[in-house]
Amino acid sequence: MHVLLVEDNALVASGVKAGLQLQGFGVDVVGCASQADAALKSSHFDVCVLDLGLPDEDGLHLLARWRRQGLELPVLVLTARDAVDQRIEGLQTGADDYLVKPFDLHELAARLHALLRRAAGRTVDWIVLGDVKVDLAAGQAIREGSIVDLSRREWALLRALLQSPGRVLSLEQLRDSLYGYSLDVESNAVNVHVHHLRRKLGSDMVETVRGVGFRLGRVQGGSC
Amino acid sequence: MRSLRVRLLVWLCLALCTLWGGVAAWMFAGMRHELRSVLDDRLIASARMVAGIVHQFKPHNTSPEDWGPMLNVVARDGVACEVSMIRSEVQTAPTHDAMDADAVSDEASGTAARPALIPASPLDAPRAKTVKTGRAGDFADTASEQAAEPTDSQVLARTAGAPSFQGPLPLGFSSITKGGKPWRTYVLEEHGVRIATADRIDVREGLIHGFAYTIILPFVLALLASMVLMWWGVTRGLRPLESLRQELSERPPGDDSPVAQGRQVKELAPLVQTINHLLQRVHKAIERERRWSDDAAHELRTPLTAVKTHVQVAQMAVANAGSQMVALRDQPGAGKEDAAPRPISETAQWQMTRQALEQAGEGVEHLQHTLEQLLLLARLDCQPVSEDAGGSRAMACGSEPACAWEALEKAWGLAATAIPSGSLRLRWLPRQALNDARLQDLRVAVPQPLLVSALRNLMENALRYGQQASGEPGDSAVLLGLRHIPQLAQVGGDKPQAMPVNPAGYVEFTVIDHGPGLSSEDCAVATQRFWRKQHQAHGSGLGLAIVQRIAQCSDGELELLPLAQWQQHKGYAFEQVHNGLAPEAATGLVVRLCLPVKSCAALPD
Repeated sequence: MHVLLVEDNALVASGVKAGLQLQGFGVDVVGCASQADAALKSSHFDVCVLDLGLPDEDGLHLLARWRRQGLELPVLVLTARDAVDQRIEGLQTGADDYLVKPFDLHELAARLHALLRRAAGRTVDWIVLGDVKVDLAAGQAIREGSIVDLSRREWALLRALLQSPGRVLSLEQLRDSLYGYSLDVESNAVNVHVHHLRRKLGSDMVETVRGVGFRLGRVQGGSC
Repeated sequence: MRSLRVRLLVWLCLALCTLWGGVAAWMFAGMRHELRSVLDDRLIASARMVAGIVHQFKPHNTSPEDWGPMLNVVARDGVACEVSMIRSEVQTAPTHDAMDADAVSDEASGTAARPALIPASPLDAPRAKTVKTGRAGDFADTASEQAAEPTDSQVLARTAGAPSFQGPLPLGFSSITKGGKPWRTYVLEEHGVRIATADRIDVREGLIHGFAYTIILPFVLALLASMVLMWWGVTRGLRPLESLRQELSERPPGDDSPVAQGRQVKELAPLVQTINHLLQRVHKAIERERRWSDDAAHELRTPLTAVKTHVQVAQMAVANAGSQMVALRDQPGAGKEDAAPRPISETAQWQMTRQALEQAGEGVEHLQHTLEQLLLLARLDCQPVSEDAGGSRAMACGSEPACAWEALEKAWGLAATAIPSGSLRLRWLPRQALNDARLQDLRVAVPQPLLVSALRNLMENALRYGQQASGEPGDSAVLLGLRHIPQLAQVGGDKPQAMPVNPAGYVEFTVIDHGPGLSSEDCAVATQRFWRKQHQAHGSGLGLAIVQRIAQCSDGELELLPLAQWQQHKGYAFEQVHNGLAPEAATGLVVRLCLPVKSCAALPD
């Protein structure tokens, strides 16, 4: 799951990035609004964590601009200002959730999960795909009653596919979700992870759409 | 002098009295002079009339016995006339007409005894003939010489009751005291007869005073009337000032809009302008303070977030690493039998790291709690203390009035999760009406987040400090109560205090713990900022200060008192509260928070 973290304070950004990565998120950090714009144009993100106090543009202003441009990315706003009217203003501007600093990293992760779940149109955080039950909150995949051991990248791939069931995701999108901005990714790294996922969860878990990318298989049989 | 009106009136009266007093004194002096002249003229005229009559009816023989019946006059009090025969040959002799004002008004006690002293009269001619011409050249003699000469005169007639004017009276006017009374006399000698007419000076003065009264009385009355008129006029004139005062006094504490009254009045416009400038400055200062607390929140929270996040990352990393296996060969003190790989979580370093991170996390939590409390207090301080009993000013945050029951339950939930074993220890008071719909509908004039924060502070304090060191968990129960009271009353107050009144009554929240409690002295200071009974204790010492401030903002009341004192006053069924322990063994703290009911809410009977 690919998170865009827009935070100008390097200390906070590095802490949040490390904390989210430890909880299975792929995180890219930008320090200002212009970089955030550039990142959104160049890469695919599943969710954005936006700090309101940015050096070049007010966070709420940036968010309002995004919403005017039709960007539907779920946005969780982080702020140090906790007055009720500011929260209301933030939510009315288009934020999907609101967290006041200092926050708990687990809470942040849980809220991001909830945002993604709502964005995918689900109400619970586990998915049944044939004989596989995926518990996103616990980070577990259970096949035929036993827990399947998945690596961090494999989890990120599964999450990315689950985030957009039925939609074909390109190789670049999946690579962004798995690795973020890392430039030294092998060209067939995504394919390798797809192969591992198929081996662990069944070959029909991921469908290949030739020339385009991959999508979640068995989606017709999946239930929430 | 505090009243501008009184001040103006005093100045006006002073000016009026001084000016009109001066005028009156001037008039009075002129009038007195004129009156004395007139009265002196009357003396002269009387003397001359008597002289004429005496001359006309003078008997041929000049023996005094013949005069008796002729001048037997009874005069009114204060006026006297005496006619006497001059035996001496020495006479003053007028030689010409001297009917001028100088002669009349001249005092005989002066040096000039001019011929004019004897006024011209129809009686003059015969008398002039009797005057010896040889003495005619002595006109320039002094009056004292002339006065000395007629000492051998014989009184022919005198007004009844009048004293004798025999003696060294000079011709013309003089003042003497006879019979204990001051007299103004005029002496005329004609045709061998000396006539002295006299007025009592005190009667004259009485006349003058009478005149003065007739002048002063209308003046005083007019002054009084003009004071009333001035009072009315000044009151009317000061009406714009009064309306300005009224506008300012009716202004709510948080209102800093410009003052409208008095702008059109030339004298008031600069004052109103100054007030508006002052309001503007105050508004800016409050804004600055609000912005400051926001900025402070931002500046403090951001680094705190960084610390907290990194501590959590480290905790997560340590937890993840704990499951990894490590060979303990390198561990100091490890023997050969320990060479087999074991989880890292069993190593001493890992334990130390985990504990250190846990403590760092606790420190960060404490810091965060203190910071939140400080910011809340700073925001509450920015709000003016309410003046009206409804406490609507405390609603400046723009939130809806809080439902007391919901807030209590919410705070209950928060406190129960924040403090270990909290959910086991929190209970309702024995007589709490749990299903009373009216209680559940009560709304108080405090925003919901503030009320929840206040109640949570009270409950967490009770849970944290209300635990007996060696008691059963049941003894450490924290009891909560909610009820409606018609008016504020201090349970533990020694002195009756003036309490604010809210027509809709008050909601009383009661939080009772059974811990060591506080003494009455401690209760009095416990709401001070940064007060802690034990400095090493958890907490920032701001919780009760915040509750106190919330109570002040909404015109409510916070009271802390020892449990024993509360029970004495309350007569509460003791065994129900305290599980049958003796009353004197009861320790604990009772905190009562009373907040005004929002008037629009449904009221219980």
